[in-house]
Amino acid sequence: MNTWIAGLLLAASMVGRPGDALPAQAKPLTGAAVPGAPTVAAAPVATAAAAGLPGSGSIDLTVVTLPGDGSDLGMLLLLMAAIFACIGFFRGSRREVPALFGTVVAYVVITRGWHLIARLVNLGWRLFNFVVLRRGVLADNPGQAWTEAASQSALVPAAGNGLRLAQMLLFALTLVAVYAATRRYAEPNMIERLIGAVVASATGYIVGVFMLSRIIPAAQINLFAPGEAALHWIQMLGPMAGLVLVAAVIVLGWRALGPKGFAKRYG
Amino acid sequence: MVPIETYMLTLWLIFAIVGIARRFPLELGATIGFVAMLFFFHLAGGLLQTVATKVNSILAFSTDLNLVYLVTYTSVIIAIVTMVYAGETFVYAGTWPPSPLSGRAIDLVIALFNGWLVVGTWWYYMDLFNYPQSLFGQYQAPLSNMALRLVALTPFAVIPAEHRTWILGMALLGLLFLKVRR
Repeated sequence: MNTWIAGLLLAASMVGRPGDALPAQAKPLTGAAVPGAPTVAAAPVATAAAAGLPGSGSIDLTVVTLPGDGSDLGMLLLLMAAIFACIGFFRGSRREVPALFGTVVAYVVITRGWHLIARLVNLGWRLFNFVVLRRGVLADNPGQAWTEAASQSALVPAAGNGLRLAQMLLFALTLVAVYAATRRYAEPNMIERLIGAVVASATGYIVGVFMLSRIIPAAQINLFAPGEAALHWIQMLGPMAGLVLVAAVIVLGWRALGPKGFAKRYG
Repeated sequence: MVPIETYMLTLWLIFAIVGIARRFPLELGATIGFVAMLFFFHLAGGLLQTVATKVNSILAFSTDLNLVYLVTYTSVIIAIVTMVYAGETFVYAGTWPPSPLSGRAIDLVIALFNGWLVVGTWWYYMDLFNYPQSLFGQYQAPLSNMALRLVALTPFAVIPAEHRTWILGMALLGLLFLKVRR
């Protein structure tokens, strides 16, 4: 876990450019700021979200700055979206659309329904402990065996230090399962690859929001006002990429209309 | 008062819904009209403003020239949207969709693109003329940060002024070439 955090901090410091990478709302760290702790550039609404459960992945109008150079997480999110877009280009839309759906469901269920998941898993663990490990059904005193099984520590934490790690583990497993399950779809053509890349970038963004908000607990990922470094790249490459995508879609869609001279037939 | 970006995004989504209903072959035809509109504004925008000024001096419509310009541009945009959406104009022949999912995705992309062309151009001119509709209480300054960012993504703001002629000209020629080929 610590290695992950250190790696991400290093990556953030590499992709963020000191000085001009400061988010619009963020201030450079001063002597009063505590070095070593992520600081949240304070927007007035930050307190409400900060008071929520740690690692709940809430998204609000704040920007996280990492200690040291004031880098923001927007660039990491963009990088994750770009990596997933490359994967999506090879997998195609038929695989990526169900994958996005599965990712969104996993995000919502794990974020909002964690208490239920923890209760069910822990109940299952106690039952397993009772039936298999302690052979409680055949025991002379099943009541005592159940009491012992029930007194076992919970397998999945509902709160505390292990919460974020357990959530990330479950989310990663779900993601792997979803990606493996969607592999069976047919190989994509060019237009499906393009759509797959766009859809997968959304998947990457969701994965980034989920993971980064848990790796750096103070992180409040801002969907609508990314930091200056990310915004710089979005403004520089976004419109061009969008126009190239539209041009490609027009040409591919035009080709998909079929051979020249066909009569109009619209579904 | 509803923020102007909410209003514009809603209008954009309406274009998207209409475009999805009309499908790609019809929407791509509308794209020709909208790109031609942008090309016309780029090349003859000054002339349009001169004509609007002269007409205003005769009719004494308003003392605020910015309002006159915005009304003129808005009228042209509405006229072109009506022309390209009314009836089957510039329809690309062929079979559609290639597959349900990719067909819908292409419909959506082109519909959003058309919405961006129309709504973005209108908003660009609103911003250029400093929101003269505020005279009627239809706009209240200042713009939010999000609105400022969105205005910077409108077509004329995205396409550099020095490259507009060839970019819009090539786009129009390309679309017409695709139409002629079909």
